[in-house]
Amino acid sequence: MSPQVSIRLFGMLAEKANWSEGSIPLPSKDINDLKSFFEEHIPELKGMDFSIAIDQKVVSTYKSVEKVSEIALLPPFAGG
Amino acid sequence: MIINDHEIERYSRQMLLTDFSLTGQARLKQSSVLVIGAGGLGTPVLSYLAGAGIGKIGIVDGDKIELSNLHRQIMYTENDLGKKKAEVLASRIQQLNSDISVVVHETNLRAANAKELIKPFDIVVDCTDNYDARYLINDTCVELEKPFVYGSLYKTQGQFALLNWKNGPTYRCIYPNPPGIESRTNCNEAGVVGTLCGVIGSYQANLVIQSIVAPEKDNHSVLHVLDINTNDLFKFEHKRNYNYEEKPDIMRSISKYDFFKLDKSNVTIIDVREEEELPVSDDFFRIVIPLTDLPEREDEIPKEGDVYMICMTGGRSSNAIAYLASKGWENLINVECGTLGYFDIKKQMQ
Repeated sequence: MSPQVSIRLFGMLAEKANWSEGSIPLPSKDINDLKSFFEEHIPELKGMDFSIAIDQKVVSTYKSVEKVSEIALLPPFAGG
Repeated sequence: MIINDHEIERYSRQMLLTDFSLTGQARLKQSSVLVIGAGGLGTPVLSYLAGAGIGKIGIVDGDKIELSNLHRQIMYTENDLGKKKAEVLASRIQQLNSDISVVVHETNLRAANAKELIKPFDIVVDCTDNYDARYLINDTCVELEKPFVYGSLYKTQGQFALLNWKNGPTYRCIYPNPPGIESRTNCNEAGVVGTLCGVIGSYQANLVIQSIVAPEKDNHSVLHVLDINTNDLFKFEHKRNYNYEEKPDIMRSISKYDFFKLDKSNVTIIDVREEEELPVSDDFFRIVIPLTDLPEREDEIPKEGDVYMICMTGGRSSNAIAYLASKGWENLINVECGTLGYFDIKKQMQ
């Protein structure tokens, strides 16, 4: 079983998935399309727009050698 | 610029702080800040900027004050209902500080006026409530090399960041493209906690003030996200990585969602499909000038006022705009996803 990494969903992503803090398996290979990876693991997020932060850094790709402790999925907000 | 005795007394409590002192206060007096949106975020931002002594403040907002605004837009009163936000707020902050100059623009930000409005100011504050204005602010500030302080809200969470500071990260570096329908919702649709506006607006005003009095401080590569239910503040580092070279005409488009909502009674809409192409909507008037006829008929297209270019899915209309832009048209807006996009939204709304 691959190690788990904690993940936090913000804004409407948490509402769609009905949770805001959880964990997912740490990817064992490099991932160029990170968004699709999360949509696959959290199907409720399909079609939603969000950015991804790994250990508090906004990223678009993942290298399997990276040591990861936390992932955050950040949807854009519109209100003002 | 000299700070006089009256100003020393007025600003004495902040001038005691190291960052401010005489130099910082003089920098605030010399600076100009444009606040776009005089709603939930705009009201606290404008109050604190005026209080702190920003020399020249601009306000852009075309909306009127409604009863449902008052729980969070607390610079307005029941007596202001129906009045224009920009005008009322300008008068309030001028009462708070008559030493500063306040410029009012009673209009919403549009592609046609964005550059003209933003150009005279040093820093812009994004207090808008929609993605089209947000991307327009971003793209215009990038083009004019102006820093801007972004803020936005969703129910009990808010984001804020100092962007485009000294060629630093921009909004498109976090969110490259405007979101689709699924992710679109503003305070009117989603609801928002009143105090959150005050908190995020105060953070925005603080970033503006910090960037003026202590420009050497590094505030510019962090996206902040605050959850007002838990009081957790999250910080995310980001980098300038969006390639603006590849998208020269990015600001001249409207999403299918916003085109659907647009009051189309007084705008020019040009359909560049062939005469016989379907579907055609009876909801708005369109002038048909097929792309193939464009070179002979280009004189029929106005060069002033917003002109919306539409086709089936947005491809031909963007080609038409590229052609016309090379001939001097600057007022053309591409309708993203075209006529099919319009029918798509209409179906969703039914």
